[in-house]
Amino acid sequence: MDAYLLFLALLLPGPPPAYAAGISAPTSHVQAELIAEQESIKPGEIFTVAIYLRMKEGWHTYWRNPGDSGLSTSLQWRLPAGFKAADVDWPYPDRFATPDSASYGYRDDAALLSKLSAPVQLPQGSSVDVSVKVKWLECREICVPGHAELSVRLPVLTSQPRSDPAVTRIFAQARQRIPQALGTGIFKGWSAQAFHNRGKIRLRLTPSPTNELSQADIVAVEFFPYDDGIIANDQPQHAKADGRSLVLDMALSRAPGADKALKLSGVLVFKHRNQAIEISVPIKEPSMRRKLA
Amino acid sequence: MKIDTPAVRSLAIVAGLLFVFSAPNPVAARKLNQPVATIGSLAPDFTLPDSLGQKHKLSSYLGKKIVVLEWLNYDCPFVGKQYRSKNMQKLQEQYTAKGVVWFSIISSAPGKQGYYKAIEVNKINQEREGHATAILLDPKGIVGRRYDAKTTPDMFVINQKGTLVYAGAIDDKPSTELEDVLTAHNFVREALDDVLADQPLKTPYTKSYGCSVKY
Repeated sequence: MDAYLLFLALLLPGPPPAYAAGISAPTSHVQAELIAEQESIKPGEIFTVAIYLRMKEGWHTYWRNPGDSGLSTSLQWRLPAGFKAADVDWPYPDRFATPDSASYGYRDDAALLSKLSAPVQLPQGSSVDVSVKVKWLECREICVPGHAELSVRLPVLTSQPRSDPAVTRIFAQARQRIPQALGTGIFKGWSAQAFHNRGKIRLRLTPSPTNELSQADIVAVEFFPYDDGIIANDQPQHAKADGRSLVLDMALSRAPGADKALKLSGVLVFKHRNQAIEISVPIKEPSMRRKLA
Repeated sequence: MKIDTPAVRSLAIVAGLLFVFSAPNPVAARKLNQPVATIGSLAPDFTLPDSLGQKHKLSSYLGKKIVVLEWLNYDCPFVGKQYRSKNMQKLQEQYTAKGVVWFSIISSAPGKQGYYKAIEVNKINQEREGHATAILLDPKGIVGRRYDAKTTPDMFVINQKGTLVYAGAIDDKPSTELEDVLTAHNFVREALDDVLADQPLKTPYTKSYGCSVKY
């Protein structure tokens, strides 16, 4: 069925740029679209597309680390010769917790942004079909696998591409949720350290001298790990202020080796700011001199 | 994920059988710092009825038989992959023929996905041509929580000495697609072969994948 739709879509003439959206495969609880940020492709340049997932009320799909259960959404690109796709820039997730487990994903909607690069040699006036096979798991109380073959056709123009006003908001909102690397951009001058501390992992975040953390930052902070088996997904995290710094204590995962984990990678989310920092720091053993209370 | 060191997975398991049955709320019991079982330690005991009405006490097998615990929810697509491809039944058949005791355990609560009355379980099992030794019914989730079963199919292997030696995923392809069972590396098969050959386990722990257990 999906292959047939794709086949039909390829036969049809390309839609006008203003409607440059991919085919949306109707499934029961998630609607998927491939959308392009700009209305045309310039040879040799990078452009961004989004796999835009809209979940029916109560349903969710998963982040790059799904947590205790579930399955990360996966993409398989089908690109014309010379095109390349970068890894997905994942917006920060929400937590879906039960008394027994927690998983990480998206409710309502999520735009998974991907940067594509076009080859230098593309004939002006031609058009290009960008396609992707998306697989996801949609869950509410129960889980159902979903998939879609999505495609978008874009004209090749040597002029500067215009952004598509119909999708500006989707891209802007997704970018707001994409974590920024510690020490860069709005988090320039910020620093982080992590320690093993009596069966917990303590993350210490210190803002730059020109920034301060508010009580609201500390109340609504949450860490989402990239790797499984280091922190326990289903245990509460405890944040407090320590001078200018924030300390966040997280219970160790029950997986073997968690107490000897060497690196903490993931996303620290300030919910009320709608901002996230990408963290990747070594986990140190606490020094003997410095007692971590 | 593959961890080769025979390190310890401390499961949030309440060791005392009497304590659990007297505890008003198994979730609360789990959250307390009760003694926990680990990979490399004695598997926590339990008694559960099977779908034919017979009771099984784990400790009556321990020290004699290799025991597999398979967390089962027939309606979870990850479990569906294993059963529709016949992969699970083949594993059950192959290893029960070698004397392994294979318990499939249903921890879905009444009203939740995967909960079936015993008579329905027997019907489905017959349709699926299951070869488990027995399908145990755990509608209160007591045993599921004691083993910290997070997903279906979460898998556990207990050796002849009663030691929990493997906990984790059935294989290394976390997906719902049938064809993946053909190319997946099956960790339960590997664990059982290691135990049967009296070898240390190459992979004592993996992260399980699948649907959450519908406690």
